[in-house]
Amino acid sequence: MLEEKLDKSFSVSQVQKDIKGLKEGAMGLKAPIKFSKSQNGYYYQDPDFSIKTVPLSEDELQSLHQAADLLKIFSGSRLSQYFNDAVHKIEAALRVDYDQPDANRYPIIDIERPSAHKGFQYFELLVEAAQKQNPVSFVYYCYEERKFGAVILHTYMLKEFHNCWYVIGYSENHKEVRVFGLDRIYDPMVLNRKFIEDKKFNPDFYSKDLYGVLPLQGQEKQRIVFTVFSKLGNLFVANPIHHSQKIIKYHESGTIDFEIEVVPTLELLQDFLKYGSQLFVSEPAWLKKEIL
Amino acid sequence: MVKSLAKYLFSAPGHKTQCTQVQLLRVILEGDFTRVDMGCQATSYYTKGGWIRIAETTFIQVLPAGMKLKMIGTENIPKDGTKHELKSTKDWLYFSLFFPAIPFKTCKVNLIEKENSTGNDFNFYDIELKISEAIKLL
Repeated sequence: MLEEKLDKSFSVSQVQKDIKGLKEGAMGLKAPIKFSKSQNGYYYQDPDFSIKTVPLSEDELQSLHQAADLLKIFSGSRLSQYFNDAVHKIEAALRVDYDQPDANRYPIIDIERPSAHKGFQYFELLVEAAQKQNPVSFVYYCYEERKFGAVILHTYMLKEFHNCWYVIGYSENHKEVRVFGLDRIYDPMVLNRKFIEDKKFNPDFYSKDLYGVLPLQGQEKQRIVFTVFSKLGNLFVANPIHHSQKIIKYHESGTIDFEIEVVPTLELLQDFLKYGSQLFVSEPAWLKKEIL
Repeated sequence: MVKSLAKYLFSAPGHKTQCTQVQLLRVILEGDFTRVDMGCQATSYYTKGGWIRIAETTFIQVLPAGMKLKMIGTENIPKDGTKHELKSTKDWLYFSLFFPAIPFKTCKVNLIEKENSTGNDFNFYDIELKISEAIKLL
């Protein structure tokens, strides 16, 4: 009968092996299969059981909820809407009612909300433009020069630093890869124009080597050695400022010497300066002079 | 005239002006209307940066001597000529002006806030809209 339905032939032993596999949970299913003498065939003891449901553990489901909560923070973005829809589908398959959660349930993860930042509404458009390789036109206001500019950008990546978002790409106006703060961007429009890929663009430079987004002119990746006094040192140990951060020496007084390997930026200068006399740079000499 | 359904952008088109406070940034032919994006930077002339307004009678004109197409709308600045007060001498304002559609062809356009201007008005002359520089919007 099965052979007729599927228009395929099976051996009895093959069918028996498959049923055994389904019952024993080799595929994570543990199908409640029983044999009916009256019907002379196999059936699911639990009529709601389906091999099409996704076998997720409590922990896996919990992590999905947490991820959904995190993405909700980026409210207003269709990225999160799509994700929520996807989670709903998975949960529907599991017959978990996410629409009517526990009344006491609230987001247990709270982070600073970048969605409140000016320009964050363009995040999705810029991500999509980068993914689909469509150049964008936008108006940019430069805080330093106090001047507007109409920019055409071939977007390569978006980067967050200190809870601010930046778009990085090849600027037709500047004829080089540039960084623009989303907070200074107005009305981006997607263009039907050939995408320019700058061969010199190195994503690692922006995501790994650069501390922040605004490199200091003429400075390359280098070793920076600094000393942090007493309590502040523990903060630096607990929260490294860069993935390259290493402890060089613990002093008896509690002072700690650190090193990082970065491309120095305006943000690094600002961050070092904000610690005042609690932070001391010993290498390189030029930075030591700047921080004094 | 057959209206184009496609939208075209002219980024930082060439032009002449005596106005130093306001920059003409983009011209967009949106099919049904023409949009002009502009940016204004406050100056230290006034204590708190002063104010900015755009005359209700502002128009664009395709050269030579085309019809005067009166402004039909604004974004981020009052349409009725009401002043927008700037907050400081370092304040800025990005805004857009909307006019009826103009044909999609290489041409020069004037944007006139006040004819026979003394120099303080937002008058932009010979805005160059070259088809070769137009970028189609998606």
